[in-house]
Amino acid sequence: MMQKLKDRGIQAADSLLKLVLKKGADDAVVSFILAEETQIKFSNSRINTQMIYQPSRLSIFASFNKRIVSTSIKEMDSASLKRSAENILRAAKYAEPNPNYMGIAEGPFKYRKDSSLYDRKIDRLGEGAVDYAEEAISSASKGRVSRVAGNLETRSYYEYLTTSGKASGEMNSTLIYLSVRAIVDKANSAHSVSVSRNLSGLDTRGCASEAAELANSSFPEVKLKPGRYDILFYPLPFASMLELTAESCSIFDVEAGLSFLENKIGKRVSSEDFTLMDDPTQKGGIGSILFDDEGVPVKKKALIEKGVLKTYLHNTSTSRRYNTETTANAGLISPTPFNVVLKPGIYTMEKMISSIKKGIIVTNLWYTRFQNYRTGEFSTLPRDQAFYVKDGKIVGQVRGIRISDTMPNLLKNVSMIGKNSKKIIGWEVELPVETPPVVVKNLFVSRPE
Amino acid sequence: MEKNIIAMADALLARLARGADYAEVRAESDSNSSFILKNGLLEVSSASSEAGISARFIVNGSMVFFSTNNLSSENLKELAERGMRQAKRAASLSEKIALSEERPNRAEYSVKEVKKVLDTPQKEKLSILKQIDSAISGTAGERYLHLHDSVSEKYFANTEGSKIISKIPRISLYYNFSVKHLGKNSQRSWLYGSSSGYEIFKKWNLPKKLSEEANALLKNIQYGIKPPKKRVDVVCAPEVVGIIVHESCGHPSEADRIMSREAAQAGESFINPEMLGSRIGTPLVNIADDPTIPNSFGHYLYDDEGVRARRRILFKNGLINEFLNNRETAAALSTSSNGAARAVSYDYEPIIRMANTYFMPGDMSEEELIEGVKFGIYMKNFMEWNIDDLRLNQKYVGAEAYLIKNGRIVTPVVNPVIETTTPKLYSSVTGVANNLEFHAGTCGKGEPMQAIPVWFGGPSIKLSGIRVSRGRAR
Repeated sequence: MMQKLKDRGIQAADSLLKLVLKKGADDAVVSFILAEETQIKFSNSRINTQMIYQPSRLSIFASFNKRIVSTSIKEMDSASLKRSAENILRAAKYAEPNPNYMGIAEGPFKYRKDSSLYDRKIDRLGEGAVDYAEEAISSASKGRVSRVAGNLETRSYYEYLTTSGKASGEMNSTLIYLSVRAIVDKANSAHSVSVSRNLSGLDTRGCASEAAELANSSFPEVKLKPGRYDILFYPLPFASMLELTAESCSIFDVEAGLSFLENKIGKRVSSEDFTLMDDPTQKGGIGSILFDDEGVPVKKKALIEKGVLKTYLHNTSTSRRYNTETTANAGLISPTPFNVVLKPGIYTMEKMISSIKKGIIVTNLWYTRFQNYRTGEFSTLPRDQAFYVKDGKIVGQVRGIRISDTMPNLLKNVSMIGKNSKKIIGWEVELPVETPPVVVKNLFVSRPE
Repeated sequence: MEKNIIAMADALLARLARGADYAEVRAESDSNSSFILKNGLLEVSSASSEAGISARFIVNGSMVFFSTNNLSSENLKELAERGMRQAKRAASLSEKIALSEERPNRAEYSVKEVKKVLDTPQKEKLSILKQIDSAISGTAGERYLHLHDSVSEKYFANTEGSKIISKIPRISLYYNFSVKHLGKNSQRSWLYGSSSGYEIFKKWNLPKKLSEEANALLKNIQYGIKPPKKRVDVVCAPEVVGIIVHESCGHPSEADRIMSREAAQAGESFINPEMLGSRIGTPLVNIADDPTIPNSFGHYLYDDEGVRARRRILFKNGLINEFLNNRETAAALSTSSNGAARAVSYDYEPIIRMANTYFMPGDMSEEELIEGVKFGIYMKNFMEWNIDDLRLNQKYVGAEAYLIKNGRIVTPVVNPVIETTTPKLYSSVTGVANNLEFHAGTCGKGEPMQAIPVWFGGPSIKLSGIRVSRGRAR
């Protein structure tokens, strides 16, 4: 059945492209996605709900004399496709031209072959996924852990893309993702995730054990005074900070006043050992893909190299406006990062902890909000276990604190980068990020009176 | 709603009924359009239409949900069979889910539109956006406006005999803009939302409102003084009260958090089941959530489990009074569902959500509240806010805010910060005005994330002896 659907989708995409070009479109991009996702949600150490999603989609982006329209289409028969093409033309007639729009990429393009993005075993896992959820629950139910909650997901995607710029490609990918929260009580808990493009890369036991071990760590509670502390971020919370950084590199965000990296190209924004890449060509990368949303083969690029901001993220249209090359990060409206990787450093976790005079280890974060996207003033709440470090030793647990500072300060004050990276996606981190733990000096920590 | 999609849903329900202890189906057909204007230029006009079916069923206490937009009978049959196999395979590990007993409902309802969403010409929608943009373009250098509308037609049926058809149009306008003065800048983001037709824009009068906001924000960075760093009285205007009640009353009252079902996602709650009836604030604290408010952004009359919606009083006279329940939590807590199960669209599971949460109004006018303050802060609106995952430790940073001296607003204040805990906040409420307002938001919860339309609001309230700190503690 899947093959039949795939063939139908490809045929519909090809004929829709022809139809809109016939209607007078200057540029058009049509994509067809056939997807299936499964999910097992568990809480209180039991399986709560199992889910299957089939969110397939045929969508089109078109421009008529710089009038830009996009739409998705639910029916794929030829009469519906004709009607859709007419609707698109009608919508374009009433749209205003955008003088900033400069077209899409001219192909044809060749795409790399990458077998690391797809694993048939994930596609065929079916009811067997329950065994992984069971293993996660039992591995996390250790020591004082009273309940385990989490989520096991599989995703299988097929995408076909065809454009008026003669780009045409297809891509198969799979993913398996486990999220485990081990809970002792409302004051003691820990969260860990594991994610992989292939089944063998899923570290069920390691992920669950890490959550259990952290949740079981017990130190006397320390009431910290508001002030400046060095923060050791675990990969899970630092991924959230890197996601915000990478998204702020989108030229769309810069132009809309939503980026703290405005006017910073070529300038120092972080410490010298800080190199942040967007690398959608990474083998087995969780956000790795073959082509961007206009069919340009994706490439590896440094966003920040040795502390200096190197580039904003562009698609063909925005790059033409800025007399530069596309970074192959379409988003046709807003360029977007795909697979963010922080270059690992040299430090072990032990070395990082021992170097901290007065600091906090943050194992998870949530609810980051900005007072001002341009200045990057934000605050965020450590979630789950957080530990107080004094003179290089963990001496206590801290609760009820908030990191309140600016993103420019956070990047500038990076002082140590760990050597062991971890791939992260999570409830707070939608963009795939690979990062080691990181120490940031002198961040302001506040708490309610 | 198209009859054939209802027939497909009914056929699927009949199939599931043969093997499940309970089953429900939802069929939905949605039309959406959206427009993004950035710095005065139209970035894109989008339109989409979607249709799909989902089902949820229980076999031996094991629950399965599936959704698809591939509506071939072959696919629906295969999904049902697969779902049954999965339910049985996981039965020994499952939570043994039971649902509260509820009356089956049969109903058909829709929201009245004067200027219908689907009939409003695109040209007119664009002209609304352009007018708002022009009103602030002189003051705000960077502007981002996003207009979105949808019409959602939904069919719900379950094996207990409920059959409900609804049609709800929704309109929202999100904006963010920046104002600058001598190297300083400030930003404002907010959302307007309603279930109605396009007549709502007349009522909103956004060109005037946004222009006033932009001017006030500019004055704030031009003339604003630093906030005091001590305990003062704070008068929170309806927008700030709205976010407070949403975050620190609505969320912790969600029974799925209380029962730990969302522990790995949106978190748990500081409230335990046995805290019903215990004190959380002064007797002036009355907070309700009501899905039935006409034209509200969170409007519905039957929830996504087919239960009739009603107003819920969450905090009453300062006591924890009622939780937001669906049928699963209601059964676990030996009570009835109060109709809080919502899914953002057909393809997501229904989970417990707020609809329109508000601080119930008192008798005083806002002026009287302010007149009663010797020295304090008036917080009109805010930008940054957050709260921990038990819903105790929260922060609100004012954007447009003023100093109050001897009962009068005297000068703008830059970024006053309230950082407090839920019991402290509600125990400091000493005055409640009568100027009830509602504001719109999209509330995030669930995995996959479901950003669901809600209203939150209230009148202005007075908090006494609240410690205020400075936003730029750097």
